[in-house]
Amino acid sequence: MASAPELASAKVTRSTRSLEEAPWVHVTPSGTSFGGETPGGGVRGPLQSLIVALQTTYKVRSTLWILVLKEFKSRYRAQALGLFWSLAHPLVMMATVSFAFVYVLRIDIPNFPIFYLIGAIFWHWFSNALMAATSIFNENGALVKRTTFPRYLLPVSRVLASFLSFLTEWVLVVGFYFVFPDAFAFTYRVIAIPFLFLITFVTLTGASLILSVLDVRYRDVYYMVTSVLTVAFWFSPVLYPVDKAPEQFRWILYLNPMTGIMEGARAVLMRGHWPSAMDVGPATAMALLVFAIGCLVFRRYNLTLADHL
Amino acid sequence: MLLRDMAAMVSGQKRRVDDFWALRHVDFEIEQGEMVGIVGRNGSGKSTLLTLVCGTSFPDEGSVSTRGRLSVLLALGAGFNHDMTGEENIIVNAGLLGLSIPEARAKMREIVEFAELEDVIDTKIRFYSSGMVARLGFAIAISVSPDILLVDEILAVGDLGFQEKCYNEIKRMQAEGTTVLFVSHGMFTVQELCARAIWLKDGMVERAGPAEEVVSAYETDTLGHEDASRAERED
Repeated sequence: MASAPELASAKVTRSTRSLEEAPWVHVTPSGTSFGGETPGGGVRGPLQSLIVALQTTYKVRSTLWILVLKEFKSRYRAQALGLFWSLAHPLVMMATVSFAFVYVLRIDIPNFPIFYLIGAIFWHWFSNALMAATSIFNENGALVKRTTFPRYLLPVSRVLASFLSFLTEWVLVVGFYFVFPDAFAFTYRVIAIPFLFLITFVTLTGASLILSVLDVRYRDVYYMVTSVLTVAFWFSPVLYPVDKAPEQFRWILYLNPMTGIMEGARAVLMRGHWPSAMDVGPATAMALLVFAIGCLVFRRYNLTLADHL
Repeated sequence: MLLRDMAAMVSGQKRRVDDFWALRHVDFEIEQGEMVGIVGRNGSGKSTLLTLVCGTSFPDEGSVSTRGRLSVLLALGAGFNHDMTGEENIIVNAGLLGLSIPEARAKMREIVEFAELEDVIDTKIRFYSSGMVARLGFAIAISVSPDILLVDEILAVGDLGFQEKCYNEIKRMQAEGTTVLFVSHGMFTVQELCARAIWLKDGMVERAGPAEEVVSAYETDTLGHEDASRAERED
């Protein structure tokens, strides 16, 4: 290999910035690694990889924030009424479903509209985030191929953007507290609610890491996700409480990660109880498991992602 | 697109090491502030090489080590959201290159001026011409003052005046210490801009060294005579 001509070295006189402080970036068969003049070699343990990923995420947080804002804004782009729709939709559904269940089917659930609303906004976040995150790489192939930020930011940004929509829907919950105060039991125990958000977020992040990369390889994944979500909706307590389900079938409900979350949120907001162990236990275990699998699957498929787009 | 992708598609499976090597035994170093041209026929591995440097694809063996902020001039404007205005797209795309929102705002004027889009920057990208989109893409990509700039055959876009401006800007950045990796089929351009060139043939380095020599060797091999670059100049 011919060495660099003198011409080049003569021009290395950049005053504005020196590379001395910039870390080495190594693109290797097992992924991207940082630091040292030569690739670190060997595969890092999962824990260390996770720590590095979290540190990296913190470093590029402004990029993540911009992606989230872009997703959030583009959802309401080209709509005259924008955010109004995200509030109108649950309201209309709440009225319609309440009509069908309370007046037609005469179901015996106290404060059914509020009961439904709390479950529905969680489910809305869950299903929206999963569908949006699943298709993100296929929708943004060009972006993936030419930018250098960590790719997992893309599915995570869609989970976070849906989270922002979800947060705005809480305006309804708080609003209805003033309309039907009897339906609620607001106590200091609402501090458990952010914890329920966190479990949902971890589950969604893990699931979106898996589904987004698999969808690049097999486009069927998106259709599978929509079908499974439809089924999972009926195996979740959006429309009925878990204890109305026959005891021998309840375990099926708890296979749905949102079951415990919704039940827990209702316990806190409508009865003023802590979420039960049955609410948070399986949900937390599932969240951690899905997240761990998500990281592993993503790490593996990320290596050939751009080749398949 | 890339031969490697085609190979993977045809065999219907993940690319295997013994199927097809898009690049093999490619080994070189580039000093800070160098501008290196990469030449070769279609499918010789030029773009694959850039995706490896960029970190969007990963090698099956070996590694690519870089240092400093990287920016890619490739499919300019491909990441734009067409329902957002030019200004919003600047914030987003500069953000993807690592600038925070305030940093991007600070660069806004510079970017808009370079792209010559002062009058339409509040208009949705949807209504831009393809040349305008490319200009904006170029202006954003260079606005982050990258330490390494990867250029993949993009300067065919935009009118002559803007092409000239882009070349001058790339030269200016290189003079200030930016390292440039330049993939092009314009042999005259490679000779003019780059001191050094690498000729890829079937995924291997066929020849590397001073740009003049490499380009003429490549032209001799491809066209069978040495007047190619002169013919191109006369076009």
